[in-house]
Amino acid sequence: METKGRHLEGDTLCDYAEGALDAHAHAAAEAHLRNCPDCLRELQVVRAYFREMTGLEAAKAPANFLADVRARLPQPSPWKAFLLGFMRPVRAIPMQIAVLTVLGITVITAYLYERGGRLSEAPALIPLTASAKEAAGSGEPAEAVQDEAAAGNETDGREEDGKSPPTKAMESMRSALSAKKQGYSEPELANRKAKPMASSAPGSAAREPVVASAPAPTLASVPYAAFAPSGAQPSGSTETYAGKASSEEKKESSDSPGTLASVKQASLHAINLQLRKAGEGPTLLAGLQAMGVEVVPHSDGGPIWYWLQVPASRVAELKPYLERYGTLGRQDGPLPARAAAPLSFDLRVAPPPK
Amino acid sequence: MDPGEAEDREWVRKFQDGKEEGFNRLVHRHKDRIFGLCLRMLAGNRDDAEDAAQETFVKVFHGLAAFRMESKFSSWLYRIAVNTCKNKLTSRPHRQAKLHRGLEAAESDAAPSSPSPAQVMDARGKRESIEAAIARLPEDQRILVVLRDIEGRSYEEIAESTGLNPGTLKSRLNRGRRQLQEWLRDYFLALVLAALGWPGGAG
Repeated sequence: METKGRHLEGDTLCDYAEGALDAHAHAAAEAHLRNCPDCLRELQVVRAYFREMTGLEAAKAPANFLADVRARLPQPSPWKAFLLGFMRPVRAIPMQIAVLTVLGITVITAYLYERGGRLSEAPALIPLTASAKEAAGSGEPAEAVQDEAAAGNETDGREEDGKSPPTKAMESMRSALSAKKQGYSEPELANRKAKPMASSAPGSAAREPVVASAPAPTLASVPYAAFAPSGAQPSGSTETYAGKASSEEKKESSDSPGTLASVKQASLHAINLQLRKAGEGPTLLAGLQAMGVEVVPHSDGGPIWYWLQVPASRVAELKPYLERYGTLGRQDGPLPARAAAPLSFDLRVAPPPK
Repeated sequence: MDPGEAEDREWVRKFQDGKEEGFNRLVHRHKDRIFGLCLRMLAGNRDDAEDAAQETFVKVFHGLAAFRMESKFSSWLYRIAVNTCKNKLTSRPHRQAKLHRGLEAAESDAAPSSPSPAQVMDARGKRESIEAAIARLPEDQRILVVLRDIEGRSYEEIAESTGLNPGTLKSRLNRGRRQLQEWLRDYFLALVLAALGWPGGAG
């Protein structure tokens, strides 16, 4: 306890009045105040001070204070305000979920992009013509077709026998398919085809990718017949699946029974599939696409589902097979409108040999 | 946690969730106290006080998104207000105005006088006399007297808002108190006598 001579210090009186002294100092001050009228009077002054200070009228901020504050805040541009409003729900998402979502979208996009890029290089396969069928049927080696294509290349784009080099190349691919049907394995086919096809007419390269350069997906366990349109099952070696064919090729394709066009024209049914194991997805989907089934991924923000567009007549036999791989949605039925548009990375190649 | 702090945190969270209503509520809750603090810190100059109080809330708006609620919101708010007022006090225009007022005061009477008994009965005169005495305190003492004896903030909050250690805080605060009691001694004695019913008292 502080004393000034025989009286209490002003600080001690303030602390006493505030109740800020420890028990011992408080008791000592109290004992002194009982016997010192001067200090008791000073204590009354100190207490009057505290009363007056706490009783001072509270200041009132001007009535338009909030508006004035807001006027000093940076005003976002209408475009920024729109974006902020748009992003507001996103800002409410915890950071971990946001990061995971962005990562997930990135991975899926990269996967689809890579796949789309590869698929965009998929070969343009067109219906086999009668001559090709004959060639295939006669057991003519594929090299003969390659030679023909090479010959076309040697003409450097000039027409030969009324056929343009691209047409020759297309025919060579048809023959290649025919050869494949005869039992050439894919690696063999790749070795046998890559160089000659790659050296085809320069102008035709973009339109007619090399069969062997495509990562021809195989799914040996997929029953091809289950995917083939009812009544449109190609006979013999006429699996005629067209990918990025030109309009002429598409027209040609649509004229032939068993082509993709005819598959499209057949009554299609959409099966909604969610893969049970993500690891099996690429193989299964590539296999399905190889069968000519259009696969359309879709999601409402949750897991990814796939619309599989298959001939209506084959749905019953296909479903048990698909159920081994995933869950079938209850919404399967007529082709949904949003699934009607073909995928940019759609792949249609010849099915694997039976 | 006291109810006021809990409400502050609720509005802070709303603002951090993107609802600007949270900021408006915080301004509404604290504008009078912050304006009063600025008014007393800036020696009763209403224009300066309004400007400082607005600036305080503008700073709050910009810092609120990063406010992690590790301290009380009110302590954080008062710290911003105190620093804003200190910056204003050290700014050139304010120093010039203060010098001008100081010269005027020197010409009349340097020390504030206690209110007369008649003024004691006049609430307006009483308030003006006390406010004038507070305004004459040195800035470092004035802020502590305002925060502790007028606003009733705890010592911990004041230490957090001003960055002073407890010992320095207490000694500066008591210096300011003693100075005010000295300047206003007659007034406080009159109040004491009036309370005791003495004939010389204000009553």
